[in-house]
Amino acid sequence: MSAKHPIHIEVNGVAHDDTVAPRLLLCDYLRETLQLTGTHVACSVGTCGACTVLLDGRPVRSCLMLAVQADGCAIATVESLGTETALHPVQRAFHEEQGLQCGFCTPGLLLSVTSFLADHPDPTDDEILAMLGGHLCRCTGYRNILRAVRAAAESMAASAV
Amino acid sequence: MKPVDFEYAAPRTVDETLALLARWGGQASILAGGQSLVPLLVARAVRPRCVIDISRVAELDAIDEVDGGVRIGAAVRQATCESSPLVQRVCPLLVAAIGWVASPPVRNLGTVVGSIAQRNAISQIPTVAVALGARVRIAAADGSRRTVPAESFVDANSPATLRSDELVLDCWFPGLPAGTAWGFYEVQRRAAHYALVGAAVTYARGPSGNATAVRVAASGLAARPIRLTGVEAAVDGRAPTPLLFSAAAQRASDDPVLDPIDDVHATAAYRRAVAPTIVERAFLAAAS
Repeated sequence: MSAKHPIHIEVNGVAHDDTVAPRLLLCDYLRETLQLTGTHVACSVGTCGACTVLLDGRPVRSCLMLAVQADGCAIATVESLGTETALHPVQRAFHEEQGLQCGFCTPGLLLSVTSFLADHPDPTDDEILAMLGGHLCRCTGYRNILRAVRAAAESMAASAV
Repeated sequence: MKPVDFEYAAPRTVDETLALLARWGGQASILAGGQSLVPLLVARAVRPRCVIDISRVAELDAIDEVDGGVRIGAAVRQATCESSPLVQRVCPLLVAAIGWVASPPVRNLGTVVGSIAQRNAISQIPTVAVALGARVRIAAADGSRRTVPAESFVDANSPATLRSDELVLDCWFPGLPAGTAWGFYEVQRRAAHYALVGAAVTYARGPSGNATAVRVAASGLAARPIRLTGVEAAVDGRAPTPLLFSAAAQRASDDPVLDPIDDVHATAAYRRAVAPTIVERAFLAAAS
């Protein structure tokens, strides 16, 4: 066995000092070590987007990253967004616009959309669709997701005033 | 699957990186962004004994304006390049092509140089590197440095190919002089998926307004991105009109250098048939 490596990593605002095997993927560190199972893993090759998390505020595929690579970084998973009784505006928009059915792809989408809206507070449909290209949803046909992103942008703009 | 066990090293300098490569004697893999390497590790298609992560080598994480072009270090992320005012100004074709690479989350980790080092036949960044005549700078553990044209570097049969004790330091992309037309276009089965065929074109305008210094490179039409010199010759010296682009692009399907990829994503016959359309659209993007 190779030597384990110490990592210092902040996940959803909580600092963790762990030692990890180099071959441990970030998604497995989050799900199995930290028991944050909101991050979903489907394709494992970076195509589907379900495992997307925020690394220092930017969306990345947690299945395409070793946990050791995230040493010194801050990660946000879907558990950081809202709670069942106090949904994040993006979660509320997905709920109200039925931007999900089975929900498997939703955690990754919520994080990509949250980061996207921070950079694009008033996005065009083309910008939204370009961002959605990084996420596969087999249920919705994307139309409701598009509506949800628009609704989230509007509600966040309204609450920022 | 999950990767097999391996050692991990995160050097801070180029010298440390080269010493590690020498020590592991061909049994190490360089990880920059990992967007190609990690899936290969997961599939166990590669089983290095050590993964050397160069993302913390500060001297490789730089974009510099050099000799009228941009030099992009081996640790520079694609997203960083995409949003760099320097790259946008000096080499906008590269920025446009990066916009076609996978999806934003992949570009947030993936590197420009790593895409070239992978020598993937369908990748956008190597196609731009071939079109522009980019140059790849390589360091070896014995202290030697060499610079090779990207066009040779991406050819697996070329002696320019990387040795196991070597590290790609950076890639220099020539700048596009003011007034140069540039365009990139490709066809994918769906958004953010692999390119089937892609094309990068640039041309300047002579005193009469005619196209000069025409360069065309395409992906998907051979085992590496290739120049389409027949198309270039058909445009060079003529008035750059949509009619000319359409006629010249026909040569993209019968160039003798073509040996299109044939795989699950598209047949060789499809790639050959669609090539003129893709090249024409890259020219139209350049003209607009």
